[in-house]
Amino acid sequence: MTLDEARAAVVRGEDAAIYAYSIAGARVPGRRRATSALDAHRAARSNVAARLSRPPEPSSAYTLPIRPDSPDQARALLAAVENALVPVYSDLASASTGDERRRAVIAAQVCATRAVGWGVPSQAFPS
Amino acid sequence: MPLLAVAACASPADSAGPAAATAPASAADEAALIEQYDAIISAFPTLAIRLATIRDQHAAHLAALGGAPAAPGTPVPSAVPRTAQEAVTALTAAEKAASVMRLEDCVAATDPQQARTLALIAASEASHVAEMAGP
Repeated sequence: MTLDEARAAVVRGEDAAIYAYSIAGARVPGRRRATSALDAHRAARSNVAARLSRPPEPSSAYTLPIRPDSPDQARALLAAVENALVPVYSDLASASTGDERRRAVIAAQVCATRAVGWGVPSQAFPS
Repeated sequence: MPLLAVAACASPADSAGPAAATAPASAADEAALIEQYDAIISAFPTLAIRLATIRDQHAAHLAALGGAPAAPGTPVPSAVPRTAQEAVTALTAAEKAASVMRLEDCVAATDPQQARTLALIAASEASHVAEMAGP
């Protein structure tokens, strides 16, 4: 995977997360937590997209792995989208160096932490 | 055309560079964490349910880093906390330190595959900190 491919994958992953938060964020008990996470994802998306000459465009809709029909399902969905970003950021870490790699690892750590915050158990290799 | 003399070739250890240095250090840290967990689970069986799966994740990290667990009968760390609460506090601090060290190990890694593995492990350790803190 080239560096730009890894960056583009992060942008696509963040766009999916932003979509999931926009749907599920209002349905979880931790509304404030969801809002700050959504803001963080938007900022992260913007930072990584800035490194691409032609960043991917967001889709108008995404297939969600879990339908957020209840507060518990909404939390499960948000945990899943956070965990899904960990390997994507790990790929960016692998493809990058120095400060960009550092930021990618920190992003992976924050996503895995948020997933646990939404109530799922930790994983050895989050995905 | 005469060949230019080439400087002394690097030894395999030199050419592996920080990646070779990083993997054993990361693996040693994971092995030490496992020992710490085992000692605490032994001393506080009531914590076993909470800690055993995290401990097993560290075993998976160790295997991914090419390390092996300490041989049975290896002396355990002498200082086990006095109470279960202190034990959880100690493990939380250990996970926090591990998440920082794995981040640094990843940044220093020269092998991209190892960097990817270390990034995933760093994320896992960070999530352990949150998990120890409880709901």
